[in-house]
Amino acid sequence: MGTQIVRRLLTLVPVLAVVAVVVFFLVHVAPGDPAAVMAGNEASVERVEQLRHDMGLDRPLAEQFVSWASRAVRGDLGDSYFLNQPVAQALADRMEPTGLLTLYALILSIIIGLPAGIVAAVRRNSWIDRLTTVTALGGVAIPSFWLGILMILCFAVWLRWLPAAGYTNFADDPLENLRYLIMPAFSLGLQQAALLARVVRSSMLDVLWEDYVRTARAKGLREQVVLVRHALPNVIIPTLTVIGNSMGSLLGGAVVTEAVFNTPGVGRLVVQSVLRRDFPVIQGAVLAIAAVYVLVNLLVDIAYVLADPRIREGSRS
Amino acid sequence: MAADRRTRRISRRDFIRVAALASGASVLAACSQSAPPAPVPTAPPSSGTKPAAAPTTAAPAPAATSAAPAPAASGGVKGGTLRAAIIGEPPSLDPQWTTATVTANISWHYVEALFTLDADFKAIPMLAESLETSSDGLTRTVKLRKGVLFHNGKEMTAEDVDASLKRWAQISGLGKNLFAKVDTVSSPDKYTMVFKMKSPYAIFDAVLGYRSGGAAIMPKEVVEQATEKNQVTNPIGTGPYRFVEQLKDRYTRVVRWEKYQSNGDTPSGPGGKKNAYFDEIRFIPVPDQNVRIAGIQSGDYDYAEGINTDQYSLLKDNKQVTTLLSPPSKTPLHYFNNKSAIMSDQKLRQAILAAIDPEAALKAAWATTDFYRLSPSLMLKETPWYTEAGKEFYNQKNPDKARQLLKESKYNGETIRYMTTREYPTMYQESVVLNQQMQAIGLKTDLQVIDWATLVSRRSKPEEWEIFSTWHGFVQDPSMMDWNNTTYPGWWTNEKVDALRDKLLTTLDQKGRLDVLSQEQQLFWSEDVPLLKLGDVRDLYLTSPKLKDVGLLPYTMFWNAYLTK
Repeated sequence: MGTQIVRRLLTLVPVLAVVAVVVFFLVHVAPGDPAAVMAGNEASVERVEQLRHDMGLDRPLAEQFVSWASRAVRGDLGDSYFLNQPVAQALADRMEPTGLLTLYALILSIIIGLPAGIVAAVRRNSWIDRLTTVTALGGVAIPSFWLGILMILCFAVWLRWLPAAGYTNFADDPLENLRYLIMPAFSLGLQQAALLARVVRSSMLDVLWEDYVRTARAKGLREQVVLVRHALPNVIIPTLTVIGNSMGSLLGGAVVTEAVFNTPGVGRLVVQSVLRRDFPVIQGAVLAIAAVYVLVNLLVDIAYVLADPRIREGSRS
Repeated sequence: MAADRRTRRISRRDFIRVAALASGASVLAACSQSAPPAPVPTAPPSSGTKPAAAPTTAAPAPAATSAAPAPAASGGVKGGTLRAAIIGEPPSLDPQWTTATVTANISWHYVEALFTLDADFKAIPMLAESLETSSDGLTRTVKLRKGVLFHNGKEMTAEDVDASLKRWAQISGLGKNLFAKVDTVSSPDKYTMVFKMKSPYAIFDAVLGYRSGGAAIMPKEVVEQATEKNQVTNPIGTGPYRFVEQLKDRYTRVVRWEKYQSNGDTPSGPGGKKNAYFDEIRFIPVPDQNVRIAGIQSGDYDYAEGINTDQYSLLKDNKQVTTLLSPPSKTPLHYFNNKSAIMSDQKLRQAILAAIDPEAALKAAWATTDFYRLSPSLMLKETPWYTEAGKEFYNQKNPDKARQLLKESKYNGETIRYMTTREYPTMYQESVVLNQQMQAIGLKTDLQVIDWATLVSRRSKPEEWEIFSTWHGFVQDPSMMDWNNTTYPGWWTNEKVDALRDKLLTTLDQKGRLDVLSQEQQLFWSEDVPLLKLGDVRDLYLTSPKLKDVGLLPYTMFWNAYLTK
């Protein structure tokens, strides 16, 4: 197990190297001049040239890459042009909103999706099942940004219960932090909840037809015990797969959701940095997101092993 | 194994319990927060149906009822935090360092310059007490105001002004041009500066009072530490508000400077008396327009800028918001590339001018005449520079004449690359209409819709385009307009116009300068047609009904504005 984790961690190296090369050249080949953005619309040509020089943008691309990559290898992602601060700090400042948003969304999707899927499977063909299926279909189909806008209209503009946009640090005021993130988390998590409900329902239905469930019932076990002790553990593997994939979708979806709710997270930073042509931030953020993605996948794989004795035994033999 | 399972079962139950409690708590948390007061019912905003009349000069409505907080000295209400939703994060807090509008809009609350504008857009002293000009125009003596304190408590003197201007001259194009004309600068005493000029320079005070990348006066030690290479990150000025902190992409916070001293007893445009009524102003970057609108409606923001004019009809009768229309302050422009092989053909440019219907383009972009007006004047009607010279060539809408001019030109079906952007929707909408009108007379055009950063980068390369769209904000003097800058993309330069430019810069009296400008404008419309000027336009802003007296021309000013309770 330990060796496997180390091996998987080592795969991070080539992944990040490829990502680094691709993102660097993509960003630099795309038109747009960070110096012009910084200097403003009325700046003289001379001023823009001076800034380009100061920022090192007039050096050959290969030289710029070598200088950036050699620093990145040592863990230094460089300095943001626009924000006038180290990229690592810019990312660190924005990790909390994105991390909490993703976490809340994940929790919400599990709280809603898991019970809904189980109930729908157990009460198959009942009105609850149909309602869950239709709602889940709707949930999957509704884009998160649209749901976000609708929620802002309802809870912020009409009812004025929740703030329309913004953020407060968790450490400053946890309740206020929740007030700011509850709508983004709902709009982001609902789609995943719907997906989860559908997968849990179908997996549960498969499991409920298995021989061991019939045997358990034949032994005279209570239905609750049959479900919780015998059926549910077998639903965990496909559920984990969905949750693992959700993490990727949630991180991606956070880009859009953060824009809708003006949450100062990594997603918004990436979008703004593209518009500002803040090359070091785009490069650093994409690298960081790639690393997080790989690590999350690794965690999911570890969770598989922990959850499924068959895989655990297999890996031992 | 059984024990293991039990543990798992219990933890799962616990998990569900905790989750249920957490979700319940979150709903409770959401509901238990005291809701902001219901929208204040107010009369439909008067500014929604007519232009905001020189907001800074209008007398603020007095706070009348006894329940209301005591009115401050000149009628506004002191106190509160203003939450201003601005279009994006500033690239710098240093107004000398960048010409970005978003930086200027924030920074002129905490810095000031030697000069500024009055309500008639004439240069007036700000940190200066007076300006004396010798009869030959070669000696400019600036007396500084005494007892003006920087936010660090130090008194502003000539050495601070000197250091600030030296750095500004290294960074700013306008500063470089000015100091190219300055022979020597001396300070006979700590409140006097004498500029010996090589030649008369008509825009001396206008340039020193210009805001974008302007000559902000900061303490000597601050600018000397930053040098021209680095930004000032902790700006210190003399303005009515004091910079406190910036959380990148979250907000920039300024607070009232209690020791602020106004120059004058009554407000006049950006100059005169400045009342800092707010305890604090937070400039919050909100790049998405829909969020800015929703934030005003929900009571999260008090001010929102950059609202598309097509939202006006939806919002003008909404009681939760006040719509504000700026006075005409912007000019939509479509520059021709006078260096390109195709567009350097004067007849072709004249043909396009004859073909286009500026009103159709303006209407497509700015919706109604509430927001646009036709005008042949290169300078705004509100400034002392209005002239109708060459007006017969503006708004011709004559496709037949255009086709004739096209025949006389050397144009031979080449593709005209026309760059525009959706980032500023009005630019795109104008371009679509103009593009159609050009195609209608037989031009082959390629409308290239790209993002703004790409456009800005490409427009400096003459081989990459033929036309690009933009707009210019308020500029108080024709000599400072971009079309009078020979290095600005478009590159309008020839013997005739360059001679007029020189004359405009060295003529000191207003009447003489207006005459020169008229000649230049005549040349602009009748012969050179270096770009298309469509008209003048207004901007749309939203505020909470509680926010009063926001100044919008020539730019957003929160001094003298206040929040009613």
